[in-house]
Amino acid sequence: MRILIVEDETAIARMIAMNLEAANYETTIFGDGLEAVEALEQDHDYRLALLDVMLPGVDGFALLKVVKGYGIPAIFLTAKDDLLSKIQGLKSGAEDYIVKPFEVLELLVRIEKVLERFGKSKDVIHILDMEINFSEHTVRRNGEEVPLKPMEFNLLSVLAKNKNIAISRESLLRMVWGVDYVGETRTVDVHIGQLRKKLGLSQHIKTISKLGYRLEE
Amino acid sequence: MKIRTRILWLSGTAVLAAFLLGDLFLWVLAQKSFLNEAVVKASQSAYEISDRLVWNLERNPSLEDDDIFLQYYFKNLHDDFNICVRTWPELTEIYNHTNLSMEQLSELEFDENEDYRGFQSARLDWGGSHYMIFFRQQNGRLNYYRVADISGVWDKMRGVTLCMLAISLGVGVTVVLLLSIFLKKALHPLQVLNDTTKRMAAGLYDQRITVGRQDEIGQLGESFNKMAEAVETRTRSLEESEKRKTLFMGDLTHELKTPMTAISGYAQTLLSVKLKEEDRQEALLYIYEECRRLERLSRKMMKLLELDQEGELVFEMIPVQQIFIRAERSCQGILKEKQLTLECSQQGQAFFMDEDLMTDVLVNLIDNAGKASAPGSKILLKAEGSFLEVRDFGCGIPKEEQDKILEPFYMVDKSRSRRYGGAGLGLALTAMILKKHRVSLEIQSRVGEGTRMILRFPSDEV
Repeated sequence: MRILIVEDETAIARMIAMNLEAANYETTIFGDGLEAVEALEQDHDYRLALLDVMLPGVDGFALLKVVKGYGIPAIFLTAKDDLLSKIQGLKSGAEDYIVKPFEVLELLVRIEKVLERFGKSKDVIHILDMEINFSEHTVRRNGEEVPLKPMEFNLLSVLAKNKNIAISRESLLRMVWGVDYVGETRTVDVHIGQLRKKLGLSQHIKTISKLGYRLEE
Repeated sequence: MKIRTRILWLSGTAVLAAFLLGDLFLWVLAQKSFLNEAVVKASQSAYEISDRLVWNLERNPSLEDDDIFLQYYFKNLHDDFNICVRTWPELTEIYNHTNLSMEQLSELEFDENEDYRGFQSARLDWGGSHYMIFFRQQNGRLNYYRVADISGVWDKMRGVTLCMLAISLGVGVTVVLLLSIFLKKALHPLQVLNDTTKRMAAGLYDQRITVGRQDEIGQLGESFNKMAEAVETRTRSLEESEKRKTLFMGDLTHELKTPMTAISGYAQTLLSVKLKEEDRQEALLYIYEECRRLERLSRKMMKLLELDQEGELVFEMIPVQQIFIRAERSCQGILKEKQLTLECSQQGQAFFMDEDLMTDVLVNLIDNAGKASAPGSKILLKAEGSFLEVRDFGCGIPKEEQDKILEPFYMVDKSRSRRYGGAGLGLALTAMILKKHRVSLEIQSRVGEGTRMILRFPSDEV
């Protein structure tokens, strides 16, 4: 899963790349719009593009057209948070518009949503000794299906998709049970306990103090 | 009430009052003269009739006792205004064809003084008419009265009065009308002034009025225009400064956002992501670098603020050599990194300046020159007459960018400037310091050939 990052601030580009790599994506970084355009001519096998709006060489809006020309969905990353820029960004055909400064988890979730929408997310993830099939809603461990309750499966999916990244209990509650769910973070702990027990993941689902849980490979 | 209405009312009333007073005076005069005329006319016929009677009686004195003759005589006059009365041996009325009776005549009070013809006169108002009665004693035994109807005078006076009132009113109305037109013309500029002021109050500061007059109103208009000019200039400069401030704030927030995003992103990553050791190191390094960048930014911002608030500048005569040495020392870093040579030349000049700030200016300019230069090239720093010059042979600044480079946060090549830790404030700071020194900055640059930054000191301070 290759993701294109065009961002002239090296620090930010590397930061995004680090997180994406931890979540099992491959990344390529360009700091200049023109360089990106030239490179895309040779190689445009990307699942998604993250584009800064203000770029040297060719700006984000122009670059977006090129990227879309290759059928690559794009997300804008920008420091401009006025309404007009947002509207212009979304109207020009970007799938999403993320304003700096942003939360890393937010970026990952949005990337995932775009990939899902374009059917580019994987149906099956292999992690550790598990095979998680999202279309069948099943988990196989060493080829043998392990029965999970729906919420347990959803929780496992979120952790697996964002592996190596710690997610807070609040975020998990929101992402798995939904925004409307009025529950306690205790619920998350109980389900994590179940997952650890049923799938033998006590070593791999780590509790990170003050932060939440992280599924490590 | 409008000033025009008030003036019209006042002047109208004044004109009318003056005319009425005049009318009254004329009226009195006219009445006297009319009355006089009537009296003279009436007395004339009285004299004639009486004299002729006296003449007749003198020629034939016996006729005096002849009532028939006397009656015939008066009848023959075909005139209904004569009365003849016998006083001796007893009071008898001989002839009377008037409306008056003997009693009325006896009640009359005649003037004590007789006129030169021996006539006495009296006035009688009776039955809606006015009479003048003349009286003379004729030959001792006859009294002759002549009754003159002078009502005509009053009729005439009525006509005269009406005429005078009509004239007064006509003149009054005409005066008021003319005055009204004149006032409207005279006060029109005030109306214009008022309308213009209202428009200005509503925020249209480019409003002016056409004067075209030399009087007080014209002067007022001129003063108004001057005031409007001042207000417009002031407002515009305030608006511009406000706009600049907003732009500056916008740029500043934008400049802050990038390092903030990086720092907070790396911190989150370090906290929540399981990273390889080398990635951890890299993340920490980035956090450190971005913090340094923020620090530089805040330091420069502080300096801009200080300068803005009329911070204490220490102006002294400083030899150019002194700041050249300090600037060169401060720029060692970039000079060494790109293997640049800095060639200094000066002729022992000294300028009136703040040593620290002017060193900052040179450091900034050399720093920019260094960023623009290719590795291994040279930078010239020289003083000539009342000029200071920093010259490089680097990439140069495109013509259309030259005006903008002094604006805060403006960078010709954003990504490259960032790489060298620029915040886009250096030249803004430089421009501000130079302004405080009343030094003008001239930029001569050609793309591909290099840039000359020339500082022109006020020549009287060399």
